[in-house]
Amino acid sequence: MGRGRYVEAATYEGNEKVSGVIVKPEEVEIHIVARYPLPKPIPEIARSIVERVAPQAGGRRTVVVVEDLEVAAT
Amino acid sequence: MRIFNRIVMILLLAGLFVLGVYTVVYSLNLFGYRLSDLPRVVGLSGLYRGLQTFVGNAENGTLSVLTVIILVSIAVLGLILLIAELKPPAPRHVGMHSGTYITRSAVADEVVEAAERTPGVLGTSSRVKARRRPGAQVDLEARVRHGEDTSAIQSELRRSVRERLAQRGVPVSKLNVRLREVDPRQARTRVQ
Repeated sequence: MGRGRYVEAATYEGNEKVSGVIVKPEEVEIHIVARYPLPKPIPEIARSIVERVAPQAGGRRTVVVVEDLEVAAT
Repeated sequence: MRIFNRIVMILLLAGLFVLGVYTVVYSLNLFGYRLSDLPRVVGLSGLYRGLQTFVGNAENGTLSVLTVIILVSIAVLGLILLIAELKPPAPRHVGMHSGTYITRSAVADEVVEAAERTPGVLGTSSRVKARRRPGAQVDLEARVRHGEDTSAIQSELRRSVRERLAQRGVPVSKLNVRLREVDPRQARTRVQ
């Protein structure tokens, strides 16, 4: 998960902090870091994430934000 | 605009703080300052006279050219600030397609990575702006040796940057490439 430069991509609920997810009234933002080599193109990865998250999002629009593109260590 | 607003608010609050300190000092007659001296210190009578003259001139339509210019400038500045305030803020992330975004820094890293693999390029720096519609505006500056074939390098840079971003699924709405000829001793990479 991506957290933003200053861990600003996070949601606080009760005593818990969930990094990489921002829940807004109308929208859920999922922040990710993509690692190369990618199994499929980014738009397809984003679509898979949206498909998985949307049923849990309570009717909110799901948005995927790619924070960084990393090259996996060989 | 947010930074401008912040600066204005800081100046305003600092001014209010100083005014508050003066009021307390004069009200409590501290350090020999008395409230009865305040009109003389501030020069209120001169201010009143100036204001009376200004209002009189405005009523008679005899304002000086300089005053009219200043008033028009204030009105124009106010209009510009109002428009800037009403304009919606620029998006923070670059839109890839519906519901998918990428950070500007990630795009900038990819641009630099692609550009620095281009033969003849000694170093690069890039700036990425997000737009309201999908796609990034990329401003790329590449440093090359004196006497290089700049048009060939420029077209190669365009090709490699577009190709790399297309592989990553990042649409490019505008790509500005600027080449700067430098002494290789001042560049991070001297030979490529």
